[in-house]
This record gives sequence, structure tokens and C-alpha cells, in this order.
Amino acid sequence: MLTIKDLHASVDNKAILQGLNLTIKPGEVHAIMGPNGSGKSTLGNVLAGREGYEVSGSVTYHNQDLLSLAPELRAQAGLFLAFQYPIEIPGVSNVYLLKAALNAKRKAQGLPEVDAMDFLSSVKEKIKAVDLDQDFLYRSVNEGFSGGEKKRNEILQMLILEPSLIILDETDSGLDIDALKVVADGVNSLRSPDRSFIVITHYQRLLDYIVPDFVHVLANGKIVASGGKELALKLEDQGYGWLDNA
Amino acid sequence: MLKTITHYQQLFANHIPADALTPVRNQAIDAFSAMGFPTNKTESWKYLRLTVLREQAFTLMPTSTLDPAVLTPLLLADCYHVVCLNGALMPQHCTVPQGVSALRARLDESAIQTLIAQSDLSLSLVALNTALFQDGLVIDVHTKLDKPLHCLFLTDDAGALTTSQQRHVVRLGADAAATIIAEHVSLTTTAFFTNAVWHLELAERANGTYYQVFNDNPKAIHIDHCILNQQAHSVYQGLSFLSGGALVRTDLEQRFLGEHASCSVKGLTLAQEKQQLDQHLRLSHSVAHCYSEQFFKGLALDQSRLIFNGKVIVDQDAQKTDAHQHTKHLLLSSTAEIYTKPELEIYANDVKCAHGATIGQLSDEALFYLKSRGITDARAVLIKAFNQELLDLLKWPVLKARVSALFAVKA
Repeated sequence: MLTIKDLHASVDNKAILQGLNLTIKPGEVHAIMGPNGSGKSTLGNVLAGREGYEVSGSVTYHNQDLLSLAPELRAQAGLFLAFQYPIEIPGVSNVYLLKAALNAKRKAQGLPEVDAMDFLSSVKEKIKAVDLDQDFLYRSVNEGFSGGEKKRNEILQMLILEPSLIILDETDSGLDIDALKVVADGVNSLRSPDRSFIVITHYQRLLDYIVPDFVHVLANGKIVASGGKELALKLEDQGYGWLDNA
Repeated sequence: MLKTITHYQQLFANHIPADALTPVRNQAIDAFSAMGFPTNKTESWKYLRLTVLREQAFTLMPTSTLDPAVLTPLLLADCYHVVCLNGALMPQHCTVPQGVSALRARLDESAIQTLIAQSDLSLSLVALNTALFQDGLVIDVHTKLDKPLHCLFLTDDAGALTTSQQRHVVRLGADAAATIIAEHVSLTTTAFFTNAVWHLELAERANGTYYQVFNDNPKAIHIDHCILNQQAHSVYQGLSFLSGGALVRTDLEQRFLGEHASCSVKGLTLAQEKQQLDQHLRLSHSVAHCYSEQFFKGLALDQSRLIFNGKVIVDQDAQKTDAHQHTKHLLLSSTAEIYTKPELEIYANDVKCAHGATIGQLSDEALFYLKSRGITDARAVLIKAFNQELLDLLKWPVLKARVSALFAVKA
């Protein structure tokens, strides 16, 4: 699915990722944890193709050189980044974005545009799953949404697009426990043998709901420890300090 | 410059027959001759490059005939239709309510003579128009019109480098209401110069809505000067869509003459290639208790130049004035230029005047967000979103689709 080799990323000559290696197989859920400033969000941004980073190393996604693809082509190839801070876009309705995004992906796959009625009934079904009112479909993307509503809207997009590699960038931050369950249920409903997840989080709490196959600790731009889900519990218990001594 | 002034003096001497307005026309050609075309030394014209007008001698546009097959698709359904070709009313193509006629047939009316005689001849293009105007429309409305009046102003290729000087009078009587859609469409690709002056007169409690769509060809020069007088309790709503033409300048010279009147003007401008698009507004609160609102959006791409100047004058007696002006512009190329200037002159002390002007770019964050969802034409989507607010004010689906297409920017 995804092979990251010796990935470096810097902004204005400040190194953020410094030789990161990670292999993700289909169906796996990988949690990335780490202290503030360790490069967790940068990893998500670089994989999604955000501009502004000097990047070197290699990332292979479904046998393609991911880093050579424009962000929209990465998305069309099935990569999805749930933003830590979803952007407000006045004047673009949610339903327009959902449909345009789905059709862009279908076009890339050589499929015809989605039938408008089928699309609407599917969207109305899925918006219930993220516990948002149907009104949200006709509002501008994220405009005036609360923090929790924005995150649920990210999950709605994910449910519609059915990506094959999903990166959740601190999707749990700022969520109350009910919203956290909604988000986790959405993610878990998509778990399948051919779909993989990278779950970036500060807190073990999310991993009680989205149970990872692997947990990695990112520090100073590298993965410094990897393990099973019990590693997250150890981090919760002992913090990141013990890693410096290790 | 001198050569072109002489040229227009000759046009006046050879082609403008004596009529009821001859004394005013004589003053006007003298005033124009003394000034010539505005240069960038005139404050309100300083960002427009009028070189082509100073150097090129435009001859008077000949009358022409219209192919119904060309006209029919342009006509909006459920409207009255007024069709002007090369500045001349085409009665055989019109379906109009009572009160619409050609100006030429009405020049003997003293009220019309008075209106024209009051023109500010210190404005050189108004002076040129006053000297040379050949015809135009008179629209008199004394009732509440049941349908909008769709006025199509067409220019064909009957002659290259020609000018039409048009004068239009719109008068809404007391309690009358009318919606007028003025759409300017070129049927030619050659350069021409339209110089129009409009008089809009709103009597007590009249309600006028005026839409303007400027879709001239890429070589056209279009000057449109509108003088709007509003009596007490009248309501005016203007909405302009400006996208065509090489050089387009619109002026609105508005004045409140009675209390409790309101004036709302909005517009959307798209400047591309080497277009120069300039809108100047001057709203005069000369009496108390009036409301005015200006809301304009614009985008400049390529090497274009977009100019907006909105002035609000609140006289000493105009207490309780409520005036708003907001502009939002997007500068989308490093070689495009936007000059936007709000001007407030307030002499009264109990008024509310709000203004805000922004010039920005498309948000990189929003562009990335859309791209990260697979949207290929993220830029076009954001531009469409920016324009939508004003396009949504167009109530007629056919017109909305037509105007939206003019404002679609390729990715």
C-alpha cells in the first residue's frame, strides 16, 4: 500500500522530518504518536502534497511515486487527509464539494459521473452516520461549523469518497466523548482488508475506539519506537521521557 | 489630440442637424474642444489610459439592419423588449408598454430639453455626448410595470472605428415601478466607441431596478454615464455586471432630492487580458433620512487594470443619513492592477457611514483543501464561489446562465 523510505522534509531550511521509514500493508491501522513538534502533522501534509516543504526520500503508494503527483491526483488515487483544522470555504456548498470530489475520483477511475439522485440518497444516509443535520449539505463548506462539526464533516467526506489510504491528523483534538465515538464509528465502518489508516494523535484515548495494529512514536522527525497497541498505553502511562533514555 | 478634437468638431458641423437643443450643443462642442479627452492629470481619470480615444478618429456609426435569427436567442422570455442597434431604436423588433419611444421624436418636449441642458459640460465625455448624440430611448413609466423591460443594445459591423453617441431618458412617475435590464452585446469583433449618457429620474415613491450587463467585444470602448435623481421615498436598486470590452468606464452620479429615499448599487467586475475596467460612483446625500448602499466585487487577471471609486457626500443638512460602502477585490496575477478607493465627505454630524475595502488573493489554504479532495480546477471553483454572491441576485435563469458564463474563469 504505502512504503516511505528515508523521508526528509524541511521548511525554510528547518528540518522537520529527518529520515522517516514506514511500511503500511493493506488493511492495517498505524497510529503515529509523539510530542509536540515531532513532525506528525508534517508527515500528513507531505503525504497529501501540501506546498511549502522541501522534500526528499521516496514514497511509493500503490506502486506509484506519490511525491511526483499533484495533491488532486493523490486524492483521486485514493489518498485522503482528514485535516486537523478543516478549512472554511465560503460560497462553495458542502454538497457541491462532495459531489465534485466524488466525480473527480470516478473520472480518474474511468467511471461515469455519479447519478444525481443516487448520490443524494447516499449522502443523506451517510450524513446521519456522522450525526449532522441535512442542512449542513447546503451550507458553505465548514463555514460557521463548530470544531466538532468540522471534524464530523471530514468523516462524512471520507465516507463518501471511500479512500484506500486515510490519514487522520489529530481528528480527536477538540472533540467531546460523543463526537469522538461518532468519528471512531465512521472510521471503523470503513475498516476493510484493502484499506489502510494512519492515525495521528496525541492521546491514547482515540485508540480505545480505533484500535491500531501498530503504534509508532515519532520524535525529532524519525520513528524512534514501534510496537503494538500496548505501546500507546505505555506512552499514556509514562509519557515520552523514557524514550530519551532508551 | 488636437487632430481628434478637430475631427469631432467636423463631425458636429457636418452631421448634427439643427434641433431644439442646438444652443446647448454649441456650448457642448465648445466645452469639449477646450478640454479634449481626459488625461491622467484629471484625478477621476488618472488610472485609465485613453490613448486610443485621443489618437483614433471614430466616425459616426451608420444605421443598420438586424437579422431576426441573431436577435431571437438574445431576447429574454417574459419581458418587454427594447432593441437598439448602433444606438438607434429598432421599433419593428420591440414589444413595449406605452411610454417607450425614440428620443429624437421627443426633443421638442421642454422637460427633456431641461434635463439635457442641465448636463455637466465640465465633464468632457458628457460634453462630447451632448454635442453629438443622435438618438436614444425615452422610457416613461407611470404604473407598476408587470414585466421587466429588457433593453438590448447591439452593435454590428456596419463600420469599423465608428462611434455611437447615445442619450437615454428613463422617468418613473410617482408610485411607478419598473425593472430595466440593459444588456450591451457586440455583434462585431471590430473596435467601436460607445458614449452613452443616461438620465434616470425617480419621482416620489417610485421603485426602479436597473440591471446592466456589459458584454462588449474585446476591442470595444464603452463610456456609460448615468445621472440618477431620486425624489422622496423612492427606491433604487442597481446591479452591474462588467466583463467585456477593452476599455469600459461607468459613472453613476446619484443625488437624493427628497427624504426617506434609498439607493442600493451593487456590481461584479471581471478584468482579464489587457482590459481596463473603471467604475466611478458618486452618491450625494443632500437631504436627511436617506439610505445608500454600495457593494462591489471584482477580479483582475492577466495584465488587466480594474478601477473602483465610490464617493459618498453627506451634506450638512443630511442628518440621519445611513450610508454603507463595501468592496472586495481579488488580484489574481502579478501583472494585473487594482485601484480601489472609498471616499467619504461628511459634513453632517448625526449620520452612520460604514465603509470597507479589501484587495486579496485566493486563499492557499482553501486551494489546497479543495485539491486534497481531488478537485482539479480548485482555482475556478474558488473564483466561482467569490462571484456567486452577486450572480445569485439575478432572478432570471436564462440571464443568470448567460452572465455566469461571462464570469467563468478557466482553471
